[in-house]
Amino acid sequence: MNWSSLGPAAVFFGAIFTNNILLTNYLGMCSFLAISREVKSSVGLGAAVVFVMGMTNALNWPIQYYILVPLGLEYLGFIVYIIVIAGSVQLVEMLVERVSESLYQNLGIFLPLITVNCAVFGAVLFMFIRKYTFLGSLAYGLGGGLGWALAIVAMAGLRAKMTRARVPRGLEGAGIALIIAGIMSLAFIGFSGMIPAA
Amino acid sequence: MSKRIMIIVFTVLVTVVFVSPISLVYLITKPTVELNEQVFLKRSVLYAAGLSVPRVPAQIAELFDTRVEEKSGRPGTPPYYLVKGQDGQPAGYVLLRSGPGLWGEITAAVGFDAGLEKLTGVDFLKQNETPGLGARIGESWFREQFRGKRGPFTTVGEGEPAAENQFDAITGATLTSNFVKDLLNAAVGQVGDLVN
Amino acid sequence: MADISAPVAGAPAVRPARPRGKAYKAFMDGVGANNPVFVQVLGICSTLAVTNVLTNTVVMCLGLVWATAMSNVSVSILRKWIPPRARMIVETLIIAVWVIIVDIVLRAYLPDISRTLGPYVGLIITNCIVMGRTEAFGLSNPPGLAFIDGVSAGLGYSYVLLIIAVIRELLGSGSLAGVKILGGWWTNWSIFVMPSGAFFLLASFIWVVKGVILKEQKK
Repeated sequence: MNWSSLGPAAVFFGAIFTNNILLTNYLGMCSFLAISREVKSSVGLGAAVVFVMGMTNALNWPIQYYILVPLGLEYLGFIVYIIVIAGSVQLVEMLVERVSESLYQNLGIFLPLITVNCAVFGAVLFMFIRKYTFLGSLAYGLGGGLGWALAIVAMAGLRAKMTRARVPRGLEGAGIALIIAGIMSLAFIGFSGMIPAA
Repeated sequence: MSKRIMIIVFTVLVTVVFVSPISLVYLITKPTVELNEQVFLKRSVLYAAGLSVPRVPAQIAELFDTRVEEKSGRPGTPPYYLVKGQDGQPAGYVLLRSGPGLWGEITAAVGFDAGLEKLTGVDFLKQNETPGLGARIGESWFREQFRGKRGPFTTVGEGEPAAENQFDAITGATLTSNFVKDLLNAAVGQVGDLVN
Repeated sequence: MADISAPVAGAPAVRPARPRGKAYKAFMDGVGANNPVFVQVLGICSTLAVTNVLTNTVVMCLGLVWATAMSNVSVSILRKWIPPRARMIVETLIIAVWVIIVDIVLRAYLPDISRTLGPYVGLIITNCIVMGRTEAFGLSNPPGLAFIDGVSAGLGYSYVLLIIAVIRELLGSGSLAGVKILGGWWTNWSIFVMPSGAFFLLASFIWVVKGVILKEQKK
């Protein structure tokens, strides 16, 4: 199963920098654009996503390779992955509620919305397409989540600074956020030499 | 508590009800999907062998069956394809080779002439490279340039003249181009052992 | 030409206009005033990912219109039975079913395109537009209207994507739908093929549209 010369460590760092799931694969934009106004809630949401991604990848991998494939049921994969993601999100919701009531209130609807976050679902799909090993998939889940969190926190910081800038009215909100994302995406391309060609 | 149970029951019910049409569509299209996979493979092998590929799937299968023979290599090595000329004599070989790409695996069909010196063609069966950049390795200009070339290869810039052992990389897709280079060089290195 | 809206002698004075009005409004809403992409800023993920090649964009749009319309109708039919607490997961499951059907059909009848689109077909499931419509409209409206709403949201998404795709593929690769249009004199603006270009284009689009909307509001 291990076609790749990339070990889990390389997958991990790659997922954060060189193929950042948000800046390179464009996944997870909706909540990204909405929540990234405040650094504090961005950090909280980012942490939740890291957890969910790691957990769903770790769970979906054995389900796919030990249950779905042997039974020839891969075509039902999407449904199974969604259910696993929904379960993980429920778990994380309960955790967050216990640990920090204020964060729970702050995040509001965005916590259950992680269920339909394209980044989480995308991470599952990509890990199967790229045929990562179990450790690679776990690394990709955690790294992907961290990459997403990194992008969202950086964006929040930038937008906080920009509240004093004179943004043209037509660009306020989503427009300027997208331009910032575009520039960040360009900047992250600079990381692409980090993972040496095998 | 009973509310939770209701929710679970309802969800399960909905899932079961909806899984049925999916399964139906899947089963109906299954033979077509499998056929597509086979035709795809045959088409790539024929292209890499330098033969002109027909458009109609039935003709592709026919051409493949008359001119190509799958041969198993030594135990532990992948099978390769022997290409026969019009006269039935060996005219070339096609190797399937996989290697890492930027995003995922790249699988190529690499065709060699009978003397295992020059390439008859290269086709990519599987690649997940960046659309518009790395994925351009699927474009016909990129694949066509390999006909008649001799490995091991180095790359030159896109659009620049390339010698017999060089090929044009893709602007903006240096990493993918290098992965392709490594893949082809590995195939060139391996083919001698595999076939003989 | 006689005025057809004038009351006819003996007929009821006012023709019931409400169902037609609602349908029309639902349609125009999705395409214009409440456009999912540049007004609600939803469904960005796939907008940016597939729009660098026109053919992929067309297939994606068709898939999305189908998924949104059919999911909206399914949710609308089931709306009286969906328990409120489980509605998000049930909606997602329904959407997943329709998307899987699209995926399977593509694999069987358009295998090359299916291969190129890769995971992005599956990602229609988590496309905020589809979920957004079922939540906002499908849950509280009859199936007929839900269908129209789904189609219009899908179309509203589609035309934005098509415009962006044409610009990206034309300027970024010199071709449209794989057919080379700009000759050798054109140097490809690779930025449009890359993620950043997509972000910038979409931002510009939003800027232009918002500018128009703001001007309207000033009047």
